[in-house]
Amino acid sequence: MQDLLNTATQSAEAAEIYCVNSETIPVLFEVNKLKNIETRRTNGAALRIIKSGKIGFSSSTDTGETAARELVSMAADSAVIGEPAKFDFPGPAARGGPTSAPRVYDDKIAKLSAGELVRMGQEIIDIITEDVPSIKCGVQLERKVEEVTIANSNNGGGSYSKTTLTAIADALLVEANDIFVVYAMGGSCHGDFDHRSLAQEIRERVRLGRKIATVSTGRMPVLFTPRGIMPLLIALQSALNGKTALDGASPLAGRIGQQVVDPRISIYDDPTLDDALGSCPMDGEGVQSRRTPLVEAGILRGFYYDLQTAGRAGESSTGNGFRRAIAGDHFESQPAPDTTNAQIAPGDDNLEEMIASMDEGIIVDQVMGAGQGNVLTGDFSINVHLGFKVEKGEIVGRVKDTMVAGNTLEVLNNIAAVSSRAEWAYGQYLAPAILFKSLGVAAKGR
Amino acid sequence: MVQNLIKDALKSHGADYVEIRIEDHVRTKISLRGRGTDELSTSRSVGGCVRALASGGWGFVSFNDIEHLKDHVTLAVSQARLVGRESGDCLLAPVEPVTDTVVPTLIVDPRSITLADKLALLEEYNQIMLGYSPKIQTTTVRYRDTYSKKYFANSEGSYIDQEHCDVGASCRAIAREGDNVQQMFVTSGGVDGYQSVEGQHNSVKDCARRAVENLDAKPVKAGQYTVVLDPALAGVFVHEAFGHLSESDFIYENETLRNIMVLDAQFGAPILNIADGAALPGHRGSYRYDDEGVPSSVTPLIRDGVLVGRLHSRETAGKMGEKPTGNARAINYRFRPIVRMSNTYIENGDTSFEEMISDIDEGIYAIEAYGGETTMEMFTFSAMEAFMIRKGKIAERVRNVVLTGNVFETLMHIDAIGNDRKMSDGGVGGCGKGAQSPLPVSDGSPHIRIRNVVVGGN
Repeated sequence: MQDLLNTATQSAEAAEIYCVNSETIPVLFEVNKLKNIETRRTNGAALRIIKSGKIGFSSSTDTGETAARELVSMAADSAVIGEPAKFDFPGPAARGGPTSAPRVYDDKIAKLSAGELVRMGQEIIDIITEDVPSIKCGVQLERKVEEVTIANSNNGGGSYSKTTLTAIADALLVEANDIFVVYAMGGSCHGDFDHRSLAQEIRERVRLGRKIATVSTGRMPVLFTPRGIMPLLIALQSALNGKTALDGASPLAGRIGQQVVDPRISIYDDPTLDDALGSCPMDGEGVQSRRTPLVEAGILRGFYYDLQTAGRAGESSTGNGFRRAIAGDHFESQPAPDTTNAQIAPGDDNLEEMIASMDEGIIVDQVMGAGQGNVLTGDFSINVHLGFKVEKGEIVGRVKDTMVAGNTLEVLNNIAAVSSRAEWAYGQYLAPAILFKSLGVAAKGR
Repeated sequence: MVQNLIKDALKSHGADYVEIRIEDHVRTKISLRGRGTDELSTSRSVGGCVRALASGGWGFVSFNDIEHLKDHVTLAVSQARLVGRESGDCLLAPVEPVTDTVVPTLIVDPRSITLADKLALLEEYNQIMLGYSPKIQTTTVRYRDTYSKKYFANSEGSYIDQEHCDVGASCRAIAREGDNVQQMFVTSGGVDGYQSVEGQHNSVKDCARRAVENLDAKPVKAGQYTVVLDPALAGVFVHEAFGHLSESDFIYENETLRNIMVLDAQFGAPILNIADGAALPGHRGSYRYDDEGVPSSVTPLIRDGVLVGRLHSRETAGKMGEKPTGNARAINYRFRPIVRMSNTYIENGDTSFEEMISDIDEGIYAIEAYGGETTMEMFTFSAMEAFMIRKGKIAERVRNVVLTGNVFETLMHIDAIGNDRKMSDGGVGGCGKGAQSPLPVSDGSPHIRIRNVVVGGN
């Protein structure tokens, strides 16, 4: 790798290599039965250069000698017409400074065999089907070991190993004309990850949803569970992205220091949490991880950045430069601002009391169509995939064919209560439950 | 050389069935954003996978080190045995072994165009949008081309060498007035070469105009409406709402769902005809052989409102006692093939657009889609652009139109089908299923009218 860096630096002012080596073992159950065991091994490298002040980029799964020459020449080709670089690669991390490197590796995960994953998957199915044997489960257990190395011509970068254990499970119950689906997703970088609690959570939600309740179209209080908050979070992630803000396409652009949402709302991005799936000691550009306040007490504090976007905006990278490809392998993509573990801070209210305070309303727990509408404006219009009707403070059943719509920033200024406990949703973000005073609900007449 | 390596690895594996895919993809990506270049890169991805069936269980290994192919076969077979011991009951539908070579017919090979020329074309599009109005806040222009060489071989004696080219572009205009931000995008592309993304200047300009005009659109009032879908949105509808239910891996192991998707059952009015097929040439979902080496076909799914067919891999076909349809696809060598759509469409009917809207007192005309999603029987999809229909005429613009419903009820509520079918082949995205996204597909339809659709709104 050092050779490749040297070769690249000979014909450019600066260069950076990103190398990844990973092994993923997914074990898949379909309809309560073990279906498939896989092993996916990935090697790849991406080269980024700054030549005559312009950025060039290339990537390859082949890191042999001829491939290295191909990488260098492809990067040089794109640098000729590339974007002017507004950054320098980071130098070596300060020694002896405060260390924020989170724990993201556990040998226990690295040593997990396919057979052990099969056993865990079977346990998940046993728990979910215990009360209702006619439930059909799909389960995927996956363990991943990844080694990332970043090196640049400023002697910056570093390397780390990360392990993850993730579980995705869904329960399908078909009764008469009703198809009822509950799903959950969770994971950890630590081997103590409790796959059974994921199964128990599904079982509990199935129990709550067996009875169907009716909803009529109109405006009413709506409570979003941490899972249900997903569409709002997607809109916030777009609005707080340094790139969206720099383009002026974010409704929050130019509003730093202003009160933008209810003072009970604070939002952070935090890759420094031990064991969390989104954690890492450095981002995809070798910038050290740190916790970034985005909104505090409803006041906009800043946006999240990668190196180039920060350079263009006259800011510093927040350590949010990640390589995430829409197609192909992640290392095929150039770094762009992205969140790690997004967090909405908890409030002061008791969840049970929040539900008890609703005279007539709904709880949104699982949605369809998140991120589908006009994400930029924060408008959402979602199908309530799993939700519950509340009447006089009691959950009376599951709602069907129901949509909830609103605008993210507007509703975050129309909050009735924020629960005092933040929970992980899908292993991706931490959020409390939020009760909104009044939202548009559309239901199909029956 | 690859052929010898594969043939050697297929000797003495000890499994019931083994298949090997080796692929080489070269991809160019260009993204412009506002006045800057966001991404400009070339990447090469070479790798392969082995899938093994032993005692009725599957094992799968993917890798980049092709030279160790034999070891990967051994690992895949041992994983397959582990699955086979627990729950092996997989049976492959028989197909004839094939030896073939497929090379695409390209009008303009994207590999013959320099990166600088590609960038110059995209910059033209970008300037048209940025210069259209001061209300255009920003833009994104994204371009991808991928040239793939795929080798397929299995232990039954098939050896297929296929090359494939996919080119796509997407231009998005973002208009802003205060807090109001509206966006529109147009796509172009295809499998027959670079010319498919050229000459889009007028449609790109129109895209900017529509984004600006949408600033003045009022949010739609929630409720139930009669909705007319344009061919692009109707295509997304047929893909999302019905197509996914036709993928047999969704039902083959599940008796309850099989009882819903039962052949010969009435799913729509007699005017409704739906089909899927990769053998339909010239679209993004077109190919000669799928990733199990099965020849592609065109599969009628609904004929005169009645369910007549579904999409299969060799496994689902074997289990259900039906014929493979050539719909087992993987996005690349990192993944095993699963049942996917290819080109999915509603066939032409005989109602003109004017007739379709003429007797609607209050309804919605919904055009193109931001996206769509289904979970079993429920679907949602969001219109990019929409107009009210009042007293049989297209009236004012509305926005935030998201349609949702139950697939089965909604199919029954399609009461008019146009005679102007159009396929959508553009863009840089595709279909997602499980972890596999984006897969190039095409979908299309004529205009269709649906009664009683729930539209979300404030």
